[in-house]
Amino acid sequence: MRVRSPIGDLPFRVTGIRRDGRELVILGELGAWRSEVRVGAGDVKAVAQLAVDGVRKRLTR
Amino acid sequence: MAGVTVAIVGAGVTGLACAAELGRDAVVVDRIPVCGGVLGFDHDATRRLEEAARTAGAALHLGETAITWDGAELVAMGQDGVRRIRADALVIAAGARPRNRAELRIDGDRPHGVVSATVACHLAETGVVVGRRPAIVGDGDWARRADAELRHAGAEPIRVRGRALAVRGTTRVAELVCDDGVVACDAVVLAHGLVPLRNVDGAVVDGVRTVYAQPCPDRGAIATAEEEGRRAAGAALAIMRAT
Repeated sequence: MRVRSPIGDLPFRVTGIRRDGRELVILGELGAWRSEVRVGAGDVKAVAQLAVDGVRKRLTR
Repeated sequence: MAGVTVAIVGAGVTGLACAAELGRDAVVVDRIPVCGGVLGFDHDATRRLEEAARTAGAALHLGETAITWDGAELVAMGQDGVRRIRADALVIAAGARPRNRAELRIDGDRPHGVVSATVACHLAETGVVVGRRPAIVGDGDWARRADAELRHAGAEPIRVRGRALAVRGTTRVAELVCDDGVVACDAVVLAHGLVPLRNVDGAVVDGVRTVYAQPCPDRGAIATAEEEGRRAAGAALAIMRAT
């Protein structure tokens, strides 16, 4: 996985995954930095909505 | 930290080449969590030199910012707190930046919209353009990169070949006066010449235990940067032997 940022492109390597309450926590390394991505129900809904919007846009073109 | 003798600030091509030469005697610190500097972590030269440095036994502390140097100890800060590196010599291989307005002696008004190419590029990468028709001063690597990134972000940059003399504009840039004419523009991107970045406190001016490895040709070449890294390693070894 690769993250594009103002300090350049950085590799993101997933090292683990766990559940914390209602959130999914993706553990990883952003280069040498220990990092984590927390995904909540709202994020899943937002991503799903963006995907649906994308498909609709393509179909109406 | 016993056995560590040379601290290197910067894990770009120069710093890595220096570390590969020094091997176990080297400790590299870089504020970015990957090697490569402006080339990026996945450039062939970066991968080759990172492997060479690691194989030679150099220690790489990435994602840690060098703060101060007192002639015997480099203090760096990162995710795990403060790191103190005892060293006989410090090699500064922290890269370079384009010259600023004062260094280029560009006179005139002080409106918004006069920025360094580094800032213009970072903003363009996030989709923000410094102007619709920015004038780019300079013709080196940063000028080419700013031109490409600003175009990609939707701007229509103007490359300025003459020497920039003055900026005109009240709240916003309106014109750039050059020695070969006047350029109508709404921003000025400074990308001419390079000066070394020296932001480690205590290592700003030349010192007996500090080696500067910052090649500044306006058209930077990987081979030049590598050569500078090897030269710095030799200079650091000379300091170690004299200590």
